[in-house]
Amino acid sequence: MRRDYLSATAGFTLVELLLTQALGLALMSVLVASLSSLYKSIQVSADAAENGETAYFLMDALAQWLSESRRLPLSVDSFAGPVPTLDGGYSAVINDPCETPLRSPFAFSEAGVAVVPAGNLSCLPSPWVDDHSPVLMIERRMLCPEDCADAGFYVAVSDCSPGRAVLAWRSGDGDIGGGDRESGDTRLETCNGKVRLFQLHRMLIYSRDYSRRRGDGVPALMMSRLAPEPESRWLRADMLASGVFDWGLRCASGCDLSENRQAQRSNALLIEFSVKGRYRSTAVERTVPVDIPW
Amino acid sequence: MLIDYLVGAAIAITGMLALLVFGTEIIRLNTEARDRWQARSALADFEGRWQISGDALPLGAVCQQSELNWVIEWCESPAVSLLPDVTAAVDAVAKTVSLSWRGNRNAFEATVSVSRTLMVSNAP
Repeated sequence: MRRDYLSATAGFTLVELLLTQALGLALMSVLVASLSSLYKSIQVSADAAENGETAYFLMDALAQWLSESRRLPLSVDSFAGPVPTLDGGYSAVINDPCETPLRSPFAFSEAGVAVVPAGNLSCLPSPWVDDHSPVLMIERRMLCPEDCADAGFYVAVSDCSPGRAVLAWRSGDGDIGGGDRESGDTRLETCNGKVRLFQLHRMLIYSRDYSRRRGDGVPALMMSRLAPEPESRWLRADMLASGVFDWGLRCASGCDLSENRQAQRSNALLIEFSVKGRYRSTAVERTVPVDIPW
Repeated sequence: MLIDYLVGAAIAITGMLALLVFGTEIIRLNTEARDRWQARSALADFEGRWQISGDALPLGAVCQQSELNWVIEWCESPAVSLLPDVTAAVDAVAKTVSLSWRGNRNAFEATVSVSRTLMVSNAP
């Protein structure tokens, strides 16, 4: 009777416990291995998603800026020729992208976009930029809804003298410098007709060989903007994205070289680059038309 | 004793399975987000290629029918060809181009589609 009671209340045998523990451990090890693998996969997919988001968002931003550089709504025939430069010459393509719109103007009948080798630009920090790396120079032409009060470079296009644009620098309090390229007129309002005012913003987009500290080996895509001042001064560059490799700009249509072959203009650009993350990289390329008529 | 052990094991296994399901969902969402970004960029690329091509807008299932070089190149570009079971179509009435692909990268999920309205004023 006592033996039966003991056998009924003695619990598990050693073999049962060992077997259970072994099964439990095997099950747990399988689950832990699965979780570990899953955690790694989550990291890789999150990295890929983040890279992709950075790359495609950056490409969208570039496309937006390029679309804002469109030609001005001029009567093309009267303003389609080469642009007179201050030294008395003519250029179809900008010759010194580091200068202000007054000293080195674009043709307003064409998109304000040029591709320049970094080695030709004195306004870039040359030790950190490959001389052969392409620099995208964009002149955005933003239509003022009524009247822009900010200091900066402006172009006025008038209905009563179609094909004629007045380029000037204006301070925040309304003082005007510069003037009409053709007549030397310094007035923005050339007649009583409707005047459309465009503010010019110049920017350089280039690849630098480090991101956060010099020598880190992670290239970054940078953007530098021209200060809205009468003399040429480029503001401190902003980093658009880090980990940008293989930055490339190719002419896709309507290629045009400047007289000194230092700058290239085109009707469409093929932009390509890749964003490298910790585990994966995302390569993107897009054909972006830049000479969009109004 | 036995019931304690069983309950503990059940809770542990359930928690891990929940983590597996949750993790798989995260991966699915990441993949879908990346595919959508990729598809939107591909559609913008299509519009850019069309605008500089000077061709009339190709209609219908462009990757199956078109013989235009720029369309063939676009269909073979990684942004398009890496999407699973992708089809591209142009709607002549709405002037839209759309990309459809198999969602979640398995055969049982519904099709995901992204479209873009083309700027008709820029047509040649």
